[in-house]
Amino acid sequence: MDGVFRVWGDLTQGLVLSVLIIYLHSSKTAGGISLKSQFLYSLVFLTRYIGSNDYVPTWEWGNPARTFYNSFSHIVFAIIPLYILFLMMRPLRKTVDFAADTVKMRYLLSGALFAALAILCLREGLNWFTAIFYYNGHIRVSVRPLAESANSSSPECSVL
Amino acid sequence: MFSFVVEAIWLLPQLELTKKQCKPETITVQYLVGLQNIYRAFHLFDYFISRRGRLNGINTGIDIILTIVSLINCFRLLYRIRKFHLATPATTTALSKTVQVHLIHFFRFFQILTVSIMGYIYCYLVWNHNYHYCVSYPQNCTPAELENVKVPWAEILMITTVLSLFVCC
Repeated sequence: MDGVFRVWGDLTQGLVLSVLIIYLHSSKTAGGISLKSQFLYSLVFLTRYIGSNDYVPTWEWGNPARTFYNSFSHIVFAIIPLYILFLMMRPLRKTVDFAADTVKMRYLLSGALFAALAILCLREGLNWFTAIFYYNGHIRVSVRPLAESANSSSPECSVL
Repeated sequence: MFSFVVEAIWLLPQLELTKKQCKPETITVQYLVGLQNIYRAFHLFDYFISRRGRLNGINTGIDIILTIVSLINCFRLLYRIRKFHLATPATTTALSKTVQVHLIHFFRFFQILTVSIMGYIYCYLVWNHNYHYCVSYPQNCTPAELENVKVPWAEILMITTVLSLFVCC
């Protein structure tokens, strides 16, 4: 099984999100919650689980309970923020305070995109063009073992 | 990487909203929004203790820094709400009657889930004892393996006690 702190963290997250949904359903108001924050929160999990298979667990028949837990928790934590966002966008839209939610999303998102590209370029040693148009987490994960085996079998012909 | 950067900054609009408009009626929900990011602290502990960061998304130093930034934002929000909470006399209850009823229902389901897991553990232990190879063929087993055949009464007693206490409470 996973580390106790990871399970503890997942349970805390699930509990907080459940209480938040219960609160929204029962009080019928979304006052005090920033819609932009919730949008970014759902974007975090969507981009994390869709963008790369680093965080999507592969099914291990040797330990089905663990893979079930990992897959289930990933799916749930991607869907629940979307449901909260849906509640705020549709049934509780009238109670959302748009006037007080004044942070400019375009600056936040463009800054985050720029920072992510810069970190990626520095960490992987890529140029901007490659990072934007060719870099893909799936390819990186699938190519790396091949490249490592090629390096180990023929030292004079180094791939990496 | 984009998701980690967004995770570090997603609380900024909420911080701004709380700064402008913190009412006694919305304190509970703002606490909940602040706690939405606490799980990251547990993931960080898990990374430092077990070094299994892949599924938690913590692999490099940059991921750790971004996680710490997100936690700083989270604690800033919680501190701001707490400061306002202490300065404002309570006029309403933290949770309404309806929310309390829903929460009790939720915890009852949680309790049933916990009881099911405990029951599974108990059954698994009994099954493991009955179908153990060394129960049927003790002559083929080493003393160390035979030691495993013994029913773990201490564990079963402990689980049953905890289970009973939990159900009774």
